Amino acid sequence: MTHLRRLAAALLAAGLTACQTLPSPVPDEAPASRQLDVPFYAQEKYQCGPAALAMALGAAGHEVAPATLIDEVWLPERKGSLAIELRAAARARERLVYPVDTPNQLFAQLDAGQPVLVMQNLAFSFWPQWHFAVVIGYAENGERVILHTGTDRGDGTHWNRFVRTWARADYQGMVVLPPGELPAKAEPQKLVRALNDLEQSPSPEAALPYWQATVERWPDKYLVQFGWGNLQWNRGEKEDAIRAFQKAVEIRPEAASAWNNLAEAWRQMDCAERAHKAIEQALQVEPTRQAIQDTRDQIKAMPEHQCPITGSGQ
Amino acid sequence: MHARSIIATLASVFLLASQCLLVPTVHAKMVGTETELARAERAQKEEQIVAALSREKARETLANYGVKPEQIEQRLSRLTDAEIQRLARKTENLPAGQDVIGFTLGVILILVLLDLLGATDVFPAIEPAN
Repeated sequence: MTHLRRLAAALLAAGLTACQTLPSPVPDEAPASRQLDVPFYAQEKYQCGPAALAMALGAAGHEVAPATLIDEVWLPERKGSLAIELRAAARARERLVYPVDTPNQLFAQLDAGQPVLVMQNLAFSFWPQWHFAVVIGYAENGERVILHTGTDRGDGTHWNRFVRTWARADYQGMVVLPPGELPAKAEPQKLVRALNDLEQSPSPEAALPYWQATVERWPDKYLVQFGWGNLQWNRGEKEDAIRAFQKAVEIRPEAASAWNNLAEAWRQMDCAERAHKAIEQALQVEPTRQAIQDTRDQIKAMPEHQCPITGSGQ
Repeated sequence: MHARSIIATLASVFLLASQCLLVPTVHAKMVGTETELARAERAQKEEQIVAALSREKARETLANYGVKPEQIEQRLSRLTDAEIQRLARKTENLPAGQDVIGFTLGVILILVLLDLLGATDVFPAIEPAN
């Protein structure tokens, strides 16, 4: 009896929340409807993960059949896939993956022409039924969203209904981007996180076109210049790296890590005097940090060399 | 003699070789993007936690000042982050009820003792012991 009553209460609660109207945040200047051209793969059995990923990758210019992805993202015992593995599989195909975790973000991506892979809980929080789908557009000023989901191509769903299933999956979502394209309304720090994740994938060079676009878009963000400097250094582009580290310390003169990297770069270029000056700046900010002390010790031990770079510089 | 010199040579080669292995050169390193990102993300999280805690404390302060519960959120939402933190700090300045009572009881007890000893006459009902 108590079980039944509890179930009834839960259903009532679910019904009540269903009555709430949540306006969809389609920007005023956006068109009333929009549907992106995204390749469709119907899922087989429970395999919505591989199907949704194949569609997102297809939209990002990498055609792959869901069957190919099964071995990478399918967990037979769980009869499902994990969002983190979907992200990793996209990175392994040299694509940048950026989180989309608010309704505003969702519509921003759609307006920029990027479909969004979303996780949904189609049932209840106490009895979840997880699902992956791809939002490919919207209609009626956002009153309806259009999804490639399960075996349905371009299925229209009420925004209210959709957003509740998305909210029950903590608004987990992602956009998989074509090479060199950035997500709409990106935050620089989150973007550098996504870029760095891609750099750590088996093909770090894949991050380069995305990085170039990021540096062009946010040249005055500290983390952007710092990360760009590291990428260039790792690629052997030493002078570009030094320029980036110099910009980083210009933007944030109290950034000990950037001063350290600038000092280390000068050291490896045999420029003792510049290395000294830079590491002194780092030591002023964080005198007890081990990495900085190590760099200083190395610079102290430098033999006199002729610095190959002339002209002004720190 | 010959064998001894061979052994000596072998030993010195071995020692030199092992020294190379034992004394690794200290490598100064670039600070990785991952490290710097982790620091930035941590700082951001700390800020969020401080903001959340401040809000909780500010809520308490307003409640202590007699603001009706249904009005608290609305009044908080008008404040800036800095103002919320200032309001949160106010709670620490307020003496806790327990302390005030303890302090008052202590003072009364001392006065009673002093009256009993005949040093003071705060409470007319208390006659000195002798």
